[in-house]
Amino acid sequence: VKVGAPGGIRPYWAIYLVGMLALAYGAWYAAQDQLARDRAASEEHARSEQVFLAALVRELLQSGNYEDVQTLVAQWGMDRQDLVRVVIESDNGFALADYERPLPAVRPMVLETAVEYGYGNGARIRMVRDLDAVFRERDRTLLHLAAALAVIALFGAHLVRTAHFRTREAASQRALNERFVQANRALAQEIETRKQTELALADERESAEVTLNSIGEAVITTDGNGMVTRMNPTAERLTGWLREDACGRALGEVFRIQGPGGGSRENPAEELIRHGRVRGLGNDTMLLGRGGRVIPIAHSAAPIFEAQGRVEGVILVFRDVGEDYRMRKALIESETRFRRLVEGLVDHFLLTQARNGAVTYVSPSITPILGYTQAEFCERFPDQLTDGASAVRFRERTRAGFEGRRRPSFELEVRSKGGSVRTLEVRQVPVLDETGTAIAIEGIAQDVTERRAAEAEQRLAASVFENTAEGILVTDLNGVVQRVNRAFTSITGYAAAEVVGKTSALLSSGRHGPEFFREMWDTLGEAGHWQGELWNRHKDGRIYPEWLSISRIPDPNNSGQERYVGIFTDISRQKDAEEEIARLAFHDALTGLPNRVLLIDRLETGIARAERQDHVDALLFLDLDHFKHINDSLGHSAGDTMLREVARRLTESVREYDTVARLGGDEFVVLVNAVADEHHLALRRARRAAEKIRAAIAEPMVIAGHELHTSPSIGVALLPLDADNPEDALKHADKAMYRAKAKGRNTVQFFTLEMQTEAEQRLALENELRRAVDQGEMELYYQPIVELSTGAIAGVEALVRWNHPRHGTIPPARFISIAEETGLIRSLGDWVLETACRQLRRWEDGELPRVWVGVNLSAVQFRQTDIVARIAESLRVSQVDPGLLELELTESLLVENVGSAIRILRDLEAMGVHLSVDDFGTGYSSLSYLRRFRLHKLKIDRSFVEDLPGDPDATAITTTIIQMARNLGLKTVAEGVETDEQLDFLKAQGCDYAQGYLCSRPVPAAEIPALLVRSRCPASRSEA
Amino acid sequence: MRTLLLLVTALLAAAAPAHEAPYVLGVHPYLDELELVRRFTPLAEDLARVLARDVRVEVGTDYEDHIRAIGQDRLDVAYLGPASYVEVTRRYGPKPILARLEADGTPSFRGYIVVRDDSPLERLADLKGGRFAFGDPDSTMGTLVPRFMLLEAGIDLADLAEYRHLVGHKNVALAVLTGNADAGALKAEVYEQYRRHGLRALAESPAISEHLFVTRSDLAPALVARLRARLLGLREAGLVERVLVPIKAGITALVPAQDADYDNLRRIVERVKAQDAVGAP
Repeated sequence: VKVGAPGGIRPYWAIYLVGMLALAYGAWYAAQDQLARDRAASEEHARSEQVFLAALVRELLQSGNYEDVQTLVAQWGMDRQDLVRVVIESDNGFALADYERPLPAVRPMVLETAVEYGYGNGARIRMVRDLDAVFRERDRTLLHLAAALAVIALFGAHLVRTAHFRTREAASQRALNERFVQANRALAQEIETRKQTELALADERESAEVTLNSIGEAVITTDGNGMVTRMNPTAERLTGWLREDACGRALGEVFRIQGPGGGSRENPAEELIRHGRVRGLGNDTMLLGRGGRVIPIAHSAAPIFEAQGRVEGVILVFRDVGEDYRMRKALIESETRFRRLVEGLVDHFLLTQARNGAVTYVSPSITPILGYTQAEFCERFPDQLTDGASAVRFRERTRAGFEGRRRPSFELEVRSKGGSVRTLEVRQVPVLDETGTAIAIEGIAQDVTERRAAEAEQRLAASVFENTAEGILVTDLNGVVQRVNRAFTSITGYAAAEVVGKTSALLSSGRHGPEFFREMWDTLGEAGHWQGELWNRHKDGRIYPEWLSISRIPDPNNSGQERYVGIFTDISRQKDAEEEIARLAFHDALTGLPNRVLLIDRLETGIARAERQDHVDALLFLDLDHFKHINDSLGHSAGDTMLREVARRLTESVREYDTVARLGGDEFVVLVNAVADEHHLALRRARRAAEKIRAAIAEPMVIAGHELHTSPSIGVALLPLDADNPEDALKHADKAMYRAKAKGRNTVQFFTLEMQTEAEQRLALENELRRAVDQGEMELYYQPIVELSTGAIAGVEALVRWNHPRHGTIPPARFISIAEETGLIRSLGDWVLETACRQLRRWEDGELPRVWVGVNLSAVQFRQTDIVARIAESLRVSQVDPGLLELELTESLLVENVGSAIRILRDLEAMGVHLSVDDFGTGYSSLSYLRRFRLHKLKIDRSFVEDLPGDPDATAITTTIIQMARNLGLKTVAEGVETDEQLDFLKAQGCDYAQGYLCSRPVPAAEIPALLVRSRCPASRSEA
Repeated sequence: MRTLLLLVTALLAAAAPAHEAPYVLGVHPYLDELELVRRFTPLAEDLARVLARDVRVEVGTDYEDHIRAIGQDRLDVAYLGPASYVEVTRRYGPKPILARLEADGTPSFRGYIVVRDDSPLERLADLKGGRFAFGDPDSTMGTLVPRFMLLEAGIDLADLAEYRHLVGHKNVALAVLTGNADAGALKAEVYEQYRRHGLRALAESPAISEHLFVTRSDLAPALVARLRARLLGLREAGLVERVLVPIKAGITALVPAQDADYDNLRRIVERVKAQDAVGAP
């Protein structure tokens, strides 16, 4: 459709133009305004940056970092796109830095600053920045925006114009359309009509074809000359000709026929065409198929007339009659087979009844079942052979059958000739005539007598199974549960549905080991039967004992499906009763504690175990002081209450696996198992346990409204040291108890006197040791260590002494182990460290030659988490050079504490403290720790030194240690040097230091200065 | 006796050098530690191949630490500057020298005392009362040698109106150019670089023998010989570019050196030290 004339466009262009101009002006104005504001902002920004740069440059120049000024300027240049040039020039005109942007500036702004930076030096910073640099980009954006707006406006105008033209032309267009639509519709109608006609024709053709092809008869058509024009698939099959081959051939060639005896037959089509006569069906014609097959057919032929009544062709219809014969023959054969089948039935037989209800036929298999001949049966059945009810039922069912009502099978009880009653199951089927009316009833009967009897028996068995009080479970040979009864559920808590399909292991309590079950299965396998006591687990988790009997049940059908049947009863109650009896036999009735019998048993196992495992048990024999008074004054019931309370307190005071027993009266015994591995420790621990018990019982108790006090006397025997059998053990502990009584009661006594003394002494020492540090009884002695190359005293080892007010000086060996056991070693160790450091300070202040002080560090101290802090504190307080403090560690400490030792030693090393290994060579053949820790000295153990130089082993070891130490960069100190020969040997081997009585015994701090000033140890006489 | 055997065996095992422990190639921290490890790794790897044992690069925490490590024979191979070498030998006695650097064909380097082109100064003696810029206090060419040159010209620090130690030779050049110092001490390559900006040499330093590699004094002689042969043979082996240039640009070879090559530096050090001792309160 042609649109508009050129003249109509002009006014619109004017509108566009004005619109565009307005838009462009608007955009330009906005851009100018924005630019002005932005320029002001960037000017501001540039000025502040100039100040900042000046400060940076001043800073750098002042510190002489000229290079950094250059780097800074280059960096600024790269970072700021508006930076046109930066020049930094020194007063003498040298351009220290000069950055220039390769692009010209649009709106340059120049900033200059003078920088003064000391020494009368100065520089100028000249910076040029382009105020428009940043905003050029924005201008471009605005321009694009304006252009975009203009384009949108143009497009809008175009849309407006197009809409206008559309309305003007719309009317004529519609009229035109209308005409076109009408014409179209007419045409469409015509086409539609034609199409439908064609379709109808096609349909007709097609349906004829379909009919022809699908009918069961064979059809061949010919034209007026007898030539085949068409044939259907049936015709193809029978004649053996394919349609394509047959078409155009003479009918006689395709449809060749002959009489039954081989005589010729006139071709019906030719006859028709010739005579115009219709031939009826012929039933005795044989068709000779193309492949030589001869088929009996029935055929007919009819002429096809054209409109004018002329014969236009022939339609020949024929069919294969051979199939009818074959079907009839098959029927006869099937009937014969059926009869034979019926006659051969064993427990089934056939009844045929006439409408009057009489049995007219019975199959011969009735005779072996009932003893009657066929004829006898037919004559007497049903009235003489059944009881009344069966006869009534049979008649009723038969009548229903004749009335056309189908009923399920039913049972009849029939007396046999021999008098027994057989149960017959009968299913009736009516025999219908062609109109659907029943003319007879045929029944198939089966003797079900045995089956019914078995079923009844099974019902009885099931009832017994379900209702018996014993739990029963049936499993297959793999133990998978197949059936359980009600009693099973009530005993185990599991419903049938929860266990069927699972194995019986579900019930297992875990109390029996695998051997138990292996033996059970073995017995079952061999004897087919097992019974015994078994602990199983109830569904609620409770474990209960049961008496179980299992039998293997062979499968009656011998199909290999054997089963196990387990029958069990819950014997919890019986069991409880047994246990109660045992408890009464082995326990004290009053307190429930084990009695003497059980105690002896426990003692026996305890002693054996202690001997085997090499540890010590403690047997505490305990008798209440003055118990008799309580019984006498308050009565036996109060006494019993007290005994029960004592029993309770005893039980609470010991560990679960220790034994508390009552021997009778007010005598109790406590067996503390495995108190310790070692005798001294056992002594202390046994004492502690006894003290604990003594204190617990000495607490007041309220009985019958009275607050009563009692106390025990306790005798202790250590096993197996004091006794190796239960009787002796009790006897010895009892003896010790009597000694406690003699000592004034409420005390603890040990069986052997030495032990008693030792225990007392240790206890006393322990108590005194607690006070010793505070009361100034401890004192440090110092043993000089001499440098062998010079003979001068290089260091001292601090050794702690205990000046006991009564016992005099006690050597460390006696009390260090107690201090370690009791934890007193911590305060003692702190004291030693502090004192040694303080002493060192004093010597230093006295301007004596510098010596180091060796301080022993015990493993217990080493395990303290704050050991490093404590040492640091001592050093800080005393202001001593850490290099003068030497911590002496044992090898075992280094070997056993490797993990934490490394950390602690690193910290100590960092503090500058020196480390040495004490008693070196006695302990460990693994010396890898020497490489792991940074140590300073090895102290060769005195046991090697004392055998020098005569003993070859000692000399070899000492030499090796010295050699090795040198290789590792460590110094060596020989301990316990007592002879000149030893000293000479050590010196010859290159040992660095010596310590021992030869040089000096340990001396009080006060004597050290004199030794230092003398500066020569007597040992170095040979050098002096 | 069995215990004894065990003990002795254990002791010997402990005393024997650990088999796995790698050799250590020690370097003074003249650059960032990582950078140094990167630069020395090609050399370490080459030596490891020759010695059939790992060689680990270790960077000292400072010059003093490096000197101590060399002195205490803790480094199997050490790279060090000439001044450090002089200090090591002074404190710990001689160390076997393996080789020294040769840069641009010479195994020694020089420095200059420079002024601006337009400076009126003509001789070192004119610097009396002037402002002087030194390099790092530890730097041989930045401080030590110029101190000596000034002393020879009769100028001690006290004779200067002002002196500063700047970080690096370039800053010294820039200090002179900007007029913030009347003169400064530079190593030759920096002088060459800034000459065209307007610098002039007032005096040239004596030639100082280059940086060098030494080994520990207790290393087996056979091993020392093998190390030395390898280092000296690097140019022959065509490995200069790969192994040496990363250490210092411009290296052309490692060449033999003797302790005597450092004698002039030793005299310089002694002269400056002696002066400081006199000047000290």
